Amino acid sequence: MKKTTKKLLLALSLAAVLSVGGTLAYFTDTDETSNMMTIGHVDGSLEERTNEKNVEQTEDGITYLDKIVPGDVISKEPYIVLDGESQSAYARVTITVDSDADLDSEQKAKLELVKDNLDINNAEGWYKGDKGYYYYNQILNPGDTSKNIFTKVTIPGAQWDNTMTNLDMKIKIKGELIQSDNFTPQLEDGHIVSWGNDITIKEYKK
Amino acid sequence: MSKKKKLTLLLVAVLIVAVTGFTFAAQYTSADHTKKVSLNTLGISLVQTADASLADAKDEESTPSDRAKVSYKNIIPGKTINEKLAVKTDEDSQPAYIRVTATRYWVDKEGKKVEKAEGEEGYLDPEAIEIETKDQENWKVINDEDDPEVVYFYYLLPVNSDSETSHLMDSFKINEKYADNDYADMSTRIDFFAEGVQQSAGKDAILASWGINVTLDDSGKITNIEEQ
Repeated sequence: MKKTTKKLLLALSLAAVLSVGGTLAYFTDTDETSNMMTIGHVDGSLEERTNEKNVEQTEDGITYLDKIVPGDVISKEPYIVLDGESQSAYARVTITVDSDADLDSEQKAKLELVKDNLDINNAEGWYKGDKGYYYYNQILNPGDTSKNIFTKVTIPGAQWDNTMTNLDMKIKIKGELIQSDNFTPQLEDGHIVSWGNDITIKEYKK
Repeated sequence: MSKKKKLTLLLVAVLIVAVTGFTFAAQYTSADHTKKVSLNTLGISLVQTADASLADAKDEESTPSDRAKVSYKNIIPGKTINEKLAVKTDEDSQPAYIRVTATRYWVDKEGKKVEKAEGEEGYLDPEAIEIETKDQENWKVINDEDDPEVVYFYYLLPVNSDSETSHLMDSFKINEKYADNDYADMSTRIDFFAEGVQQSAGKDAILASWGINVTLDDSGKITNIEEQ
């Protein structure tokens, strides 16, 4: 081959390499999307009503203004209302009877009789379960009202004596709610008796 | 001829010939031949199918077809949302390798991202947001070691034109152990970013585009993924 031709071929190769080296790239493409999910909440309130006339009703509950004597039967109907924007839920309550007075053990035992005398509404779904809780056997849906937990308070008759006079008595009811979706309570004889041991109840903050 | 002169002549010769080379090409193409050079393209899009039984509404500002955003409300931890997500290639696309990056995080009631650190009060765990991928044979799921919000989904097979991957997401949920009032009324967001890169010279293309080394078998399937 002649020398001149050799140089020409070499130069053309160099030019080709120079031009190819400047445009190397890869084909790519992209796209994007997203989703969003908002968590619900569980919220409700404990409410009560009474047929008694001489009462004072506040946010904290009903104060009976008439003096009570042993053997009295007092109308008191507490129930739970599930908030309209809440998720469906199970309900349970605890009930305690105490006094602001400094009671001795005998007085405390007599006061406990008031709780024993409560007509817990088994017929309409409230049953005593574990750890002193009373469990509602039905799921409450948003806006639902439960059946009354009980309907009256019966003051002990013969068991109460003058050691119980002039005492202010308080019946405290504390309600708890838990989501019904993805939760299975424990049953016994068809009644809810427990929510299990791994539950942490916190107040819902609006 | 002296050496110096020889060099000069050579350089000049190269330059002249290079210019000449281009000129020749121009003259050649402007003559009787019109050559059409069609560039192959690469086009992908995400295919998002909402859980129709639970979807609240589509974002009004979403783009048409496959890029619609979806939202769900009043969901309880433990509830499975059967939203599907896949990637498809355009009709005229080159075969491509696909990667989708999912970024999951919590948003408060005002719509602001929750930026609390683990251990700090108000911290919400991004790992509570669980994405289910049924096709574990063809999707490789890798959690980012440094950022718990980020999850990578690598489709191991090259995707031909006008084809769709299997679902990288078959459903998602909040793990039921996070059924806690701290999470009540909070929202989760999952942002998906899909990337397609050409199958041809795939190993190099993936390294250049995604910064990872892959091993390919004879069929082009990714058999190993290694971060640099």
